[in-house]
Parts: sequence; structure tokens; C-alpha cells
Amino acid sequence: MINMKNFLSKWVELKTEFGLKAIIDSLMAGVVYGMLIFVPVYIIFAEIAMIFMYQLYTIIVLIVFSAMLNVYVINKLAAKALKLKKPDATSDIKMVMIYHACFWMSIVLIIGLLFIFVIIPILWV
Amino acid sequence: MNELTEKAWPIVRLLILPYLFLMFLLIYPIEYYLDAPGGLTEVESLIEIDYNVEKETYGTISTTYIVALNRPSFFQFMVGYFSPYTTIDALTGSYADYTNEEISQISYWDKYTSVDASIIVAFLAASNENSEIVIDYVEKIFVFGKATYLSNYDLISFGDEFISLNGDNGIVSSLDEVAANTALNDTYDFTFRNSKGENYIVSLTKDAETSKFGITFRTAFIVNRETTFPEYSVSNSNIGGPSGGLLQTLAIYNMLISEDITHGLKIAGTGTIQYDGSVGYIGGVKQKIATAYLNKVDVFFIPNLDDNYAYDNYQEALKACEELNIDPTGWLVPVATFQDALDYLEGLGD
Repeated sequence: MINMKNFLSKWVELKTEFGLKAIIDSLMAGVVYGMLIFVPVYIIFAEIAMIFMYQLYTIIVLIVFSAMLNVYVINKLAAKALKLKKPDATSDIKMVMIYHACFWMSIVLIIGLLFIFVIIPILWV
Repeated sequence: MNELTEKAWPIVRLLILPYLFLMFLLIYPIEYYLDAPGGLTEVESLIEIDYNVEKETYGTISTTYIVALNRPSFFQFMVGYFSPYTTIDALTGSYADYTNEEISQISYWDKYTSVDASIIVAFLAASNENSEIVIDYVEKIFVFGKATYLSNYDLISFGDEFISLNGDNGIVSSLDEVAANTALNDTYDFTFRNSKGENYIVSLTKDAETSKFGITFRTAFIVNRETTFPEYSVSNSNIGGPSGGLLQTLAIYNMLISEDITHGLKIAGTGTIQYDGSVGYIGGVKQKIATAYLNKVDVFFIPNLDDNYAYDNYQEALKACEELNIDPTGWLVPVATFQDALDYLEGLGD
């Protein structure tokens, strides 16, 4: 169960210790390196989906899982970047990034479900 | 970011070349085409007719589509090579000169005219039993092919309608008169109508080597919706090609009559439809058989016009079944005409 109060206090702690600029910079690093890793994965899935169209829904599920893993990797790398900025940091970077990853994973899951149940059935006429 | 880059740099440096090589395999297109199994599309999701709306249909009638990839990447080529369901071959003929976008334009135009052909054949068949049903259509001439030497190549699109030609003896709007009216000069003004309904004039010059304009026309009958009853609507389709003709015709016919010809079955198939109700050959038979098998259809109609012809679709389908270890008994039905398919379905009700 996500405790919002706990998350907010840890976020404030992190922001005070690093500053917003450093946090955004770390997240950017996470996004850049995370995407570098996952762009070929997405292309591979998209190209496989074109050939194995009869397995489209299975492949969409795999893409959604990959995107969730991508979000996790981005946050993991962002946490790593923050630790590298300040190795003796006392705030709970890991916990804040887990909460952050969970939020974005939920968004990815909702988008994936929208594709499976709404967008693909509409488009595939 | 700099800290992470500094930390990851030894690994990044090591992986740059393999990474670029992988991206090359994934992105670089090669001059081949790849056919792979696709899926089924229920005709009801494409065409809706404002008639017999309370009638219950217990089965489904679906067209079968395959995936036709023009210029796949190296990676897709390799994946397709190892799949038993795919066919890969070099891109040849006029298609080799066309861009993927142009091939799509041709394919969508084929779909557009095949839907009208299905409407015409189904409405005509249904009007024999029900005089309330009226179909009206006109013949139109469309751009179907463009040679590389065609002047003003980019101004003309596939599927544009030929309206007239300012020829040697005046304005000409019949295809039969084009050759006789373009003998004296090298350049003539042609009038076309684009997909938005706008007319435009373009000057076409004969190629010096071939003495031809480099444009191919094809005629098709297009339904006049204002004088046709009942009204119908066609959704925009993401699937091109004419091979859904026969099944579209069956489904439209089923929407127009009071009985349900599906008998609760999952009916699919392939084959173009001609205006006289005969069925025409299609490509990608192996992939369509695989698609039907993977989707567990009850009946699959396939064109069968000449058993002695090596590329007869039914003969190809039997070979594909053998190759893919699929038993064709009971579900693979050869047909030569729309009436054959109807007779088969009517026979199921006995």
C-alpha cells in the first residue's frame, strides 16, 4: 500500500538535500540511458509484431511489460546518478524512485490496456 | 548526467559499434517483400447497411488479411526466413520502382473498388429476390500505374480519376479514344480528379524512347449512392487489397436478405469478386491458409478456376496445407463464383 504522506516527506527531504535541478538532471540521465537500452527492444518488438500479426495481443503485452521494465530502469539509473552526485546522501533516494516508478508504471499499464481493448479493435478494420 | 556518463563510459565505448550494427540490422530496408499470416476482419465492422437491422446473424463472415511487408529490415528478413508461415522473395516488376507509400496507395485503391464491386454484385443478387433493393453504378477510369519516365510524375496519384484529354480531335473522355487522339504531338493536357474531388490539369509528354506517356489506367464500376437503396456506410479501412471481394459480397448479401446464410458458423475466405459474380485469384495463399488455421474457422472459401493450372489458388492451398501439416478436409471449400459459395452455404442448412 502506497503511503502518500510518507512519500511526500521523503520527497521533500530529497529535494532539500539535492535541489530540483540535480534531481531533474538525474532523471534526464536515466531517461537518456534507459531509452538507449530500450529503443532497440521496442523496434525489435514492433518488427516482430509486423511479421507475427496473429500474435499481436501477446506482443502488445510483452511491449507493455518492457515499457514497465524501461520505467524501472530509468528510475534505477536516476537513483544511481543521484548517488554519484552525492555519495554520502542521507535521504531515501531508493524509496522515492520506487514510488515514482510505480506511478509511471501504472500510466504505462493504463495506456497498454487502452491499446488492447480500445485502440487496436477500432483501428484494425 | 555527467556523473552517470563518466561512470558508464567504459561500457558505452565498448558497446557503440555493436549497438550501431544492431540498429543497422533493425532499420536498413532491403529490396525484398515478405508475406506473413495476418488475421480475420468481420465484414460487419467495415460495411453497415441500413436494412434488416433487427435480423439476428448467428455466425460471422470475415475477410482474411495477410501482412505484406515491402522492403523489410535485415532483422525482419532473418525472422521471416525461419518462420514456416512466411514467404520471402525479391521485389520485382513495377513494384520495385514504387515507394512503400505508392504501393499502399495502390492497395487502398484496390480495396475501395473491391468494396464497390461487392456492393454491386450483392445488391444485384438480392434485388432478384426483393424488388425494393436498387443498385445504380457508373464506370470510371482510374490511374493504376505510373512508369518511372512519366512526366509530372509527382502531380498524379494512384487512384486519381481520369476525366478527359485535350486530344487531336478535341476533348476526349473515353479510354478507347486516347491512343487515336494523341498521335500528332508529344505533349497533351490531361484532366484528372483527385481523392478530394478536385479537378486538375496536367501536361504529359511522351517518353522519347518508348513514345508512351507512361501511365496505366484501369476502369472500375463505382456505386452511385444517391440512387441506390438501401443506404450503406463504409468505414475507413487500414487493410488494403482486393482479396476480400468474395467474402464482402457474401456478408453484404446476408445483410440484405431475410434468412441467415451463416448457420452460426465462423466463415472466412479469400478471392476477388468480378462484376459478373465470378471469383478471381489472389496472392499469399499459404499465409491465408495459416491465418484461417490459426483462427480456427469453420469454412474457408478459396478460388478454384482451373485444377490443371499450377498457380490455381485451391491447388496452392492444398500444397500449403500439406507443407504446414494442416488437414484441409471439411473446411477448405473451392469456389469459382459467388453463387458457388451461396450454394455451399445453403447446402449446409439441409
